[in-house]
Amino acid sequence: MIFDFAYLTLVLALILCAFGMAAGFWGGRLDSSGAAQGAATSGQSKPSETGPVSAWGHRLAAASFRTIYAVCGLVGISAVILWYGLLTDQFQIAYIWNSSERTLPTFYKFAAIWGGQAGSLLFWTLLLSLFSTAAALTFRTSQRTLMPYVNGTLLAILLFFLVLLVFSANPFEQIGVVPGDGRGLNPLLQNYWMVIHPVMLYLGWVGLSVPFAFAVAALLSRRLDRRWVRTVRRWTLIPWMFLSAGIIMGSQWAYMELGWGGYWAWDPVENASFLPWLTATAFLHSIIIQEQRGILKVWNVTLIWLTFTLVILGTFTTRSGILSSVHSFAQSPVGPYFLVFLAVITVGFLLLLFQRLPFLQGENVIDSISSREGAFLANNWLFAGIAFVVLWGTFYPMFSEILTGERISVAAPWFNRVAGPLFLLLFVLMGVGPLLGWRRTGAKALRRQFTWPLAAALISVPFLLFTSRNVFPIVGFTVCIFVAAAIIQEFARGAIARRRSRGEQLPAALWGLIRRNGRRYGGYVIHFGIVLIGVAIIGNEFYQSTTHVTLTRGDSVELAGYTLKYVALESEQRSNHTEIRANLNVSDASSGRPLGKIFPRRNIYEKTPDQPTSEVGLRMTPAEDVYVILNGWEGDGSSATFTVYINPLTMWMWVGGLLVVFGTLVSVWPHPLSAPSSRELTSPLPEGAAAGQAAA
Amino acid sequence: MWVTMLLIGVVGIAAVGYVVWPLFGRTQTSISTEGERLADLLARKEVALEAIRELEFDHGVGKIEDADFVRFNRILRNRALRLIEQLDAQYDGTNASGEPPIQLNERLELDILNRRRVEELHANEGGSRLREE
Repeated sequence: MIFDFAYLTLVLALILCAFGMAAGFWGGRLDSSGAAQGAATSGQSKPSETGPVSAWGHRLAAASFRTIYAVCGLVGISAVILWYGLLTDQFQIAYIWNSSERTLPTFYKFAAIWGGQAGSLLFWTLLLSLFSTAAALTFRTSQRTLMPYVNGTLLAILLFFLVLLVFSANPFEQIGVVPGDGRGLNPLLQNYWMVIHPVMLYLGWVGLSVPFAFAVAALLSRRLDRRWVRTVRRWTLIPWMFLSAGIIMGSQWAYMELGWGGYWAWDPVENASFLPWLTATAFLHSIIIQEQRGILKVWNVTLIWLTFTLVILGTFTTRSGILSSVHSFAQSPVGPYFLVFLAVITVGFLLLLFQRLPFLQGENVIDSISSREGAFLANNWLFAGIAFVVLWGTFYPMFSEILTGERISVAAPWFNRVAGPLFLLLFVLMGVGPLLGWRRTGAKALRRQFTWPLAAALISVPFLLFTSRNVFPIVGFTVCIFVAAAIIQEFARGAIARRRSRGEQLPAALWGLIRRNGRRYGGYVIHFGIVLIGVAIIGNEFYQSTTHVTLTRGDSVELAGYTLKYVALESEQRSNHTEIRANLNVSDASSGRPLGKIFPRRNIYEKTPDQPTSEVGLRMTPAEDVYVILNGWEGDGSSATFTVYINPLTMWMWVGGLLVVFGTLVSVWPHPLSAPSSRELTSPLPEGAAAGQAAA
Repeated sequence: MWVTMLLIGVVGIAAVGYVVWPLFGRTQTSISTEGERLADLLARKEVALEAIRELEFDHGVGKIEDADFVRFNRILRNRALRLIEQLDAQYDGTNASGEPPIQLNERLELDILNRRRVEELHANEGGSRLREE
């Protein structure tokens, strides 16, 4: 009964969504035209205190707000009921039967909601309704002109997902009988990173709907000034942070769980998360130019549309099964729905964009290439170029199959070869951009800014030459050192200038600098995090050592200065699987000094004994990881086969990821003091409201 | 089954009633397009003041040469002045105490000075900025 009720709440939410979407768009239109008429008929040079607006427009807009809250409540009820079903083993529900089992730890039962197709779509809808509610509450009074359109757009997206849930992927579908137990969650998903990684990705993907909705609203309302980009900056940065964290956590999961020695394989599903990250990052940079200089207006709305389209395209590829991937967990006939939605977004947005082109003229021009906006523009081209390369490589197998009947797969080496140099250039720009000022940086200033970072990079070259004969890692590390030195110089120069002007001690000056300029210095912290990720990638790509070996008990193998001795094979019964664990001693090969133990293992799940999962054995240090995979063993464990990797500098990837999150938080941290905000300004103006009061 | 239908009926009536209530004109919400226009102008002025701050910062750390600084500073200050003028023209600008408006140039300098003071008291990103929602 309760599951029928849950399904009907989704149907109700769908009907309300359709109404609210129409109310939002129509209300916004009437509101705008009412305001325009009012302004025209009043004929006053000074506007009156309350503009005459269409009462109907206003009512419809108010209804669109209420629809968002109501849909959020209804979707919330459905999600809670599905969680209840998962936690209480209601296997008469097909989704629960497919994604859970009695002995599954509660932790994973809770996470099973995003472990399959229908549940993850419901979870996505829930997050989108929560984001929509948060946006509606935040901007209800401060963005009155844009909000009806924003609501309309967000409800249109919600409507699409509700159509999927009601007509194609019903999470409450019943199987007619009550099975004794479920089929179990995919073993690969039974990992703590998989509990949090999809949530982060969803928060990133779903959150990017809000800036997209604002772009659509700005186009529809013709309010294409700098205000909408100021509004969406924080609402793009936060989803971007979640998306970054999700990608890094996905890499961590691949590193720990898939057991192939790496963290990124340019798999279509990985690319699906990376593509919107690339365009969202470009958007975050280019809205700064629009905010500062009033240019790149067309580019910015195009970028956020591309980002949203790539989110939907990524979801389509993950769920439709058109591209084979190591982790396309959820496949069902939702593909055609996504295709139609993609077509609607693309055609609708492009038509709107062309209609609004006259309102998207830039207010300035770029004064000089040697300026920060010049560097940002180049960085945007590179991001777009990399996104195109990744998109091409991801979909090439599908195109080749359509055109030639033969599926030609594009593997990691192709992506590395083509995207690698573009990333290197991007890193160079990441160092160059912050060293340039807005508008124009003259020759003398260029010399002053570049001397130390370039010197640091060049001094490091002879030392780097000792590490490899390959030119690529040398160039890569040199560029990383240049970027890091540029960032350090930015902090140092800012702190010194502040100390000089205010007479503070250096630590206090540095602290004050970061607190007062969180946006700028938070960005530098993010850049530093990206440099660390770059260092880890170079270390892994060019300095990795590996061996594949079969050891009998008591035997050892030596690799890159480490000795690994196979001691024993142990097994342990867990709630829903058996853990087979090899015990290896690790010691320093030259001195024989013991360094610890490593336990690579295999988990054999009762429901899926033919799909054992690999849990790597790991010894992580700042210099390198000793990474061991247990491939197989003799019946009694007298011998076992291992693949051993020595992965240099990998730890810095996770540290870099943490810095990216930390830097974003610094960048978005709200100020304790808010000047009179537009929220307060929607009330009638006080007598003698003067411009000067804004900064008081 | 009838319990389910009853339950969804109750929820449905409540949800639909809640959503369509404003259509019957029962909800009073104030709207001020003029307030939005003013907010727009203030936001534009804030951007102009912020650009002056950025320029001064870049000049202070040696990224902008003196001659460029003088030129760009003049352009940005002119832009801010034009916006203050516009705000005054449209909204009968006087200063807070109701005294006659002071010279625009002085007003701008006062604005910039006020921003610096507020930033000193509340150190963080642009203490006196209009909040980015």
